[in-house]
Amino acid sequence: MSMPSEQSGPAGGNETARSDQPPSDSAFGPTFAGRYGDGQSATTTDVEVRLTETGIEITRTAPREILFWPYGGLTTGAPLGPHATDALLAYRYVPDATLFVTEGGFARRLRELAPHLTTSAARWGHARPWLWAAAALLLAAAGIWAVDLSPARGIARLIPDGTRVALGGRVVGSMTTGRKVCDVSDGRAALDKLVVRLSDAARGPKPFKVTVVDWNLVNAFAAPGEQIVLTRGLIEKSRSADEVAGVLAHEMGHGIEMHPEAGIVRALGLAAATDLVFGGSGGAMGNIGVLLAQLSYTRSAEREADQHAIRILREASISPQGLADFFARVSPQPSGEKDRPQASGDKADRAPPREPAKPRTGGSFDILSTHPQSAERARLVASQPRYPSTPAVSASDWAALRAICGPAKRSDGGSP
Amino acid sequence: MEQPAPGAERWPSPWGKPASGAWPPVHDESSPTHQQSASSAGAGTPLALGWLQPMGIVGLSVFNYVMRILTLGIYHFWGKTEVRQRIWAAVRLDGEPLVYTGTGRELFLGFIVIFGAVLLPLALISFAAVVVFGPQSPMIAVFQTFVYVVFFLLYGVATYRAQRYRLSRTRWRGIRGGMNGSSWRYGFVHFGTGLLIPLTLGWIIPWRSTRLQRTLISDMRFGDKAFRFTASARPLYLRFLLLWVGTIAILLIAGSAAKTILMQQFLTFDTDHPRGYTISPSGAVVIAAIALAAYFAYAIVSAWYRASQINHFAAHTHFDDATFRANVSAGGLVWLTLGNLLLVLLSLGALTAVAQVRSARYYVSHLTLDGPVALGAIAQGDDHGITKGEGLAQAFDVDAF
Repeated sequence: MSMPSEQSGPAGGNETARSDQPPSDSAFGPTFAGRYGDGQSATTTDVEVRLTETGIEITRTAPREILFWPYGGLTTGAPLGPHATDALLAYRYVPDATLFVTEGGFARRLRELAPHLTTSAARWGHARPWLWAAAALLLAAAGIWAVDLSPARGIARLIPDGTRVALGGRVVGSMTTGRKVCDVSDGRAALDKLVVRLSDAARGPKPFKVTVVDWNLVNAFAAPGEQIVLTRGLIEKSRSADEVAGVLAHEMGHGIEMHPEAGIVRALGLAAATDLVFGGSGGAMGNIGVLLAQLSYTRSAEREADQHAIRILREASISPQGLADFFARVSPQPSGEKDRPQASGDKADRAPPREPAKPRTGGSFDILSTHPQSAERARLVASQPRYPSTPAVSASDWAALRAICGPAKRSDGGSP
Repeated sequence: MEQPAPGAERWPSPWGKPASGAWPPVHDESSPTHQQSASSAGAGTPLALGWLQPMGIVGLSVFNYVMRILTLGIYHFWGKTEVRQRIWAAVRLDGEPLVYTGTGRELFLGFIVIFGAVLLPLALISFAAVVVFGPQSPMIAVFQTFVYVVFFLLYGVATYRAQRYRLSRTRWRGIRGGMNGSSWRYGFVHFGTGLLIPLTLGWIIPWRSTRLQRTLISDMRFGDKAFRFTASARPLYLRFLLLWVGTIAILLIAGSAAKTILMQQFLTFDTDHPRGYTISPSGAVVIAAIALAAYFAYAIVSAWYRASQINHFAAHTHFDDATFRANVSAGGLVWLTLGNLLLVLLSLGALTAVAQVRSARYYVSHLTLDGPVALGAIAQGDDHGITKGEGLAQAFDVDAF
């Protein structure tokens, strides 16, 4: 349905002054027939339109009057594409007035004379600032990632203590649902002694709270609010209390640096950003609970935790060797710089088949996936000056700690 | 024409002195009417409603899609604006296009406001609730219900505001549209009558849609002139009865078919399994096929009802002395919906704008306006000072275009 050049039509009463006349060439270029509406009532009047060098000249025939709209102040109903057959124009300084020209060639001439009205000008004009903004944002994100300057850490430090503890309680709760919390009294007492010794040495804001879960998995987690979760698998895998102490000191390092809190803030921020970009309705943030248990840390966060661990062990007069030994042993290739666990053979041949995965703990979840870089850790420990140390706990306490989940379990003890 | 237009003080005459004052003042006091070619006020003119298929929509659609990704989503609002500009410009009334004057910036600001004032607080509160009460606590269920109630209430408000925003950004011959009414009142009616749907087993639906449509139409303005809506729900009830019975029949047939086929072929009783039975994989496929067939049957029956509702509503929508007439058909609606679904899915969203233009084209080209409109008597309406776009509607995705 292409518009005929005459404008009579069903509007009725439109005097079609120039329907059969071709656009006439005057000194300043061809004239086109158009319809002009002043925007004060829903009527239009027939006009002649001429494209001049600086703007469009609108001439009403009877009585003869002339309007002039410079190109710079023009806007169009829709941007003029290369195939535009008509143009609806408005002029910025006469708000409600419109000019509609259908005659062939007008729109295409106008595209040349007023390039800011074209589709490409409109599109790039709108997109360009956001493209720059997106590029700058990505660059900034890359920079922040490169220098490991995390705004999430700053925000995490603002969270009140009570909230951090409540948050941590949820994380611990999500790991203990469906599993037993190990609380045999002798083992608990032995663990408490060790935790007090390390907490005092850590000199953190608050003493740490450690929960042992009856779980085959070999891992330890730092949760917000100075809380730590140890698995039975990890205790059974340790050959000495010094190794457990090393792991605990490392997790305390994460806690002191508020890595778990920062991780949650980061996940929340990401979810909010995702919602913003994809126009979601807060759904991504609603599911944040699932993410809580799946935090893993960056290399530099690991390094920070190790630095704290070394310091804590020194202050507590416990040998740091246990820390290095434990990670070296659970690492598939102790000498290689392995960051990612390959289906860790060391574990597979002795550990019993994993219990059916709980929905909350999908994916690789062992200690190496969350605590890489055992070789670097070993070097760090080796580089420490020696100091007089005593065992982390007494031999009898170590035996009690190993039995914290009850009498030795069938074959899945993992102790060689 | 006879009476001075409301904006006459501000703009003495468009032919008068421009802002710069650079050109000769040709203010003509002696000729109060220069719209000599238009109909004289009062007499009224029939207006042809048409669709002029826009060019380059595929390119626009793909451009918007790519740009949305490259700008991390922000270009969405500007892309959407250009699509609307094209759709509006394709609608021809008396040969002249509608103009969409909304901007991407307005849509963007509207969304930011809603995101900050509604979505973010709700998400943070629900996160806090999980932290404080724990994920299994009954308090979470209570809170979730609260969130759903708020969303359901806001949905009606969003629908109304989206239409109000779009009308306020729609012009024809420089005259803008608008809505005179309260979005909250609409939201509460939408909410309250919505709660009655399950209680009445659905029988309130035709009455409810008529009631809601009445508000949406009779609040509508073009310039200073209101639309009128005179439909009653009664003529819809015969078709609704058939839709209601049809839906139940579809559910029963599909249910018993699934049961029979499963019992015979795919279901094995297995006392070891916690459920007490197992379903073979091909059984699952059969169930899916039955469900799809049932849904398709329902889509056809409901399209048949919806088409008649659209036509009924249009036939009772009046502007001045003119009345709309729609001849939408069930087949047309099914084909439109199915085609758009395939377009969007197969292009992974890249052809969304094409689907939107397709919808607009279908509805506009099946709509006519019969009877005269006294154009000279329509003056510019109030600008209600709406400065931000339909953020709420954006958030709930209620708008088609």
